[in-house]
Parts: sequence; C-alpha cells; structure tokens
Amino acid sequence: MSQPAPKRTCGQTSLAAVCDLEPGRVQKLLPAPLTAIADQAFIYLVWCTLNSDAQTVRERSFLEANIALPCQGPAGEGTWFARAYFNSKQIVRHAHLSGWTGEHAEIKIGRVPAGVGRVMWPSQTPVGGWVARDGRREIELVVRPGKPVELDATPLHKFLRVYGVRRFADRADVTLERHLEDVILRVREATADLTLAGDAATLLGPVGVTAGYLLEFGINLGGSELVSR
Amino acid sequence: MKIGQDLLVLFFEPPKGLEELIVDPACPRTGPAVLLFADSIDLDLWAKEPLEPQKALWTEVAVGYGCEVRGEPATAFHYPHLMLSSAKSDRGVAVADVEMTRFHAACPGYNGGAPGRRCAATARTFGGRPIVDLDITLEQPETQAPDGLLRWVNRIRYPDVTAPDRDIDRGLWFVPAIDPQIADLWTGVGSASFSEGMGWSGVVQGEAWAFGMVYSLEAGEAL
Repeated sequence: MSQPAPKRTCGQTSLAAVCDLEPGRVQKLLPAPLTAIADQAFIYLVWCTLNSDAQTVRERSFLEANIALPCQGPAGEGTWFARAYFNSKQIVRHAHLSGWTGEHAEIKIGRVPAGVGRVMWPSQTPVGGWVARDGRREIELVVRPGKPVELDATPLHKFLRVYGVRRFADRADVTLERHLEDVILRVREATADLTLAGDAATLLGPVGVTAGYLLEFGINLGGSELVSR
Repeated sequence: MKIGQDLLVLFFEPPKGLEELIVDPACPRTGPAVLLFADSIDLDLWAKEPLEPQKALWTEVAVGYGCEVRGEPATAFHYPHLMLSSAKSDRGVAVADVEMTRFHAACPGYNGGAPGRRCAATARTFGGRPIVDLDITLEQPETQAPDGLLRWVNRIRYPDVTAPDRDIDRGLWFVPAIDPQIADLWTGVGSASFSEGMGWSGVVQGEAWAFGMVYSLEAGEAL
C-alpha cells in the first residue's frame, strides 16, 4: 500500500507596504486577461522556512521580495507579482514558470530564530530589510509593528491568491497558486518607511505609502492550478 | 550586548585524531567533545539598525570540549575551531559558510520541539570544502541546559598579518553567558560527519540538544 505524501509546509514572516500608484498604472502593468481593481501595489519582504526533511538544509529557508498588484482574474480577486525577487536562482526559475517576473537579487530581512522568538517575539522594535540587484539597493523597507488587526480588514485580504500568466505565442495560460491550507498566525498593523530606486522605482512610478503590516503565516503547500479557460 | 541564538549541540567521545586537533594543553579536557551550531542575532544592534539586518545576523559552528574553570564545568572552543559566518571583530575568529534548520512559528503543525523532529546543520569553508554536517533527532523536552555548556573558554589566537609565519596569542579568556533565558529545550540523539575542511574526517555519534536562548555577553576575563 502506498503511503500518503508527507505534508510540505512553510512558515513565512512578511513585511508589507501598501502603496498608491498613479491612476491607470496598474492596468498598464498587468498582463491580459488580468484586470486592475485598484491603483495600488503591495511590496513584500519575506523570509520563509520550508518544513521538509526531504530537502537539504540550504534549500529549507530562503528570502523573497515581491511587488504584487491587486487584480481580478478568471478565478476572482487576487494579485500578480510584477516582480518576484529571490536569493535562489532555482526559485527564480520557479517564478518564471509560474508566470511572474522573476529576478535574482541579494535580499536581507530582519528575523529572529524560532527558539529566540519564544522569548522576544513579536518584535517590539522596527523590522526591516532590503533588496539589491547588481550591488544597488532597489527596495528598502522598515515596518514598526503596532496592534494586531484582522487580515480581512486590510487591503491584503487576498494576498495569498497569486495569479501567474504564462504566455506562449498567442496563448496566455493563467495559473493560480493553490495552497492546501493557509494559517494566518498574526497580522499587525505597522508604519512603513519605503524607499524605491532603480528598476523598482521605474516600474511603479510615483508611490505613496498608505499602510504597513507585519504578517506571520503558514502554508500547507499545494501547487498551482490552471484557471484560464 | 544582548544575543539571541538557536543552538544545536552534539556531545560525543572524541576520536584521538580529532581530540589532538581541538584540545589546548593549557586547558585540559575533562568532558566530552562538543559540536555546536548557532543561528544568532545581536539584538541590540538589530534594534538600533533595523534596516541593516545583515549586520546583526550570523551563524556559527564550533568544535570544542568540556573543561573546568574555577572548579566549575565549562566548554572550551579555541581558534580556529570557532567559526562564524562573518568576521565580527578583531579577535580573529575563523569564518565558514554555516546553515542550519530553521523553523517558523506559523508552519502548520509546528509547535516547537517534538519527539522525532529532525534538525540538521552544515558547515563548509567559503571555498566550498565540507567541514561538518550534523543530524539530530529530538526525543524529549528538558528543563535545564547541560552543566557548563554556557560558560565558555576561548583561546584567542590569530594570524599576524604583519608577520605571516607568526600567530598573535592573546591567551585563554573566560566568557560566560549572562542571565540566559532558555526556551524550547530538547534532548535527543545525533551524528556528525566531519570532513576535510575540519582537518579530520570521520563520523561520531552522541547525545544531542536543541534550544533557543537570549543572554547578555561581555568581553570576558583573561584566565
């Protein structure tokens, strides 16, 4: 009798900034058939651990940053990664295969080891990080965590529904990340200090930060499903 | 300086070749050999410069042994067998590329240590030569860290850049963890595979420990 596949889970801490963009910018950036629902972008800096004995130690934790655009797609509201930065080239490949714009980058994000977190987390002090490409920092973000909030009360309420658009010749496959289970551990509102430069600044144009959050959540990993008709 | 660390530790009886490598005659071995991996953060620096986390975070691996200081158990880690992922001072610590299993409080099904939970760590030189790999399996929770594990003796010795054939020897220093707060303390079993980057190759097995800790650290005192 075959054994069920072991669960592959991951835990993530995300520093998030919600930004207003100039009118019409998001629609220009989104690939068809995704359509804009707000002139906003969400900037995430994420540190992630995979809880999987089958992977090597070095594969089990990685850093990620995203420029996510809220949108409407074939399966309802979600987001699309206009940029998905990773410190692992293997995961950049995964980003491209998923239909996002993957970029290899140097990423640094404040985190505390899990056992240390039992003593002094959630952080009472600001948490920050940055993304650099070719030695130049393109995103710098510091969040100062405040009081807990409900995810559904934030603009990020659909942040775990991530579309991808893979275009082959004249055909666009639209994918949606499918998690078997999402566990939102904690969302805290925060003030966010964001600085953009280089490609990230050119991509988004003028931005105004309207909100910040510190999110901790877990995912029982599934995969992606094709949702285009 | 306030430090936070997740530690993976293996106690084992050292084979002769490894013992000769790690034991300092001025600080006799009175206990088992100790392999220690740490995922570390300087909490003061992190609070002061939140936009520069790379300054506050580091990993380390150390190979040492049980000893005594002032009649109490302690643990000796001497240069060059105390290796950090970055040089953080002028004390001449050796450097290595070190990674260890990290867990996240939000992982579905994760609630700290658990019987059967596996943890691992790996260290190699920045040139890519393997130094040591550690695998441990947790078995049961504990309430107290092993005697002497948090009282450290280090021989501070490092190459003299002005005279390549000579080392600068600053002697033995006693550096205890001050007011340690310990969390998620577990024991289990483990094995470590030492490789060429260590200067001795072989596999050892022993008693393993895993825990998180926040403590204060001062410069220490010369012995």
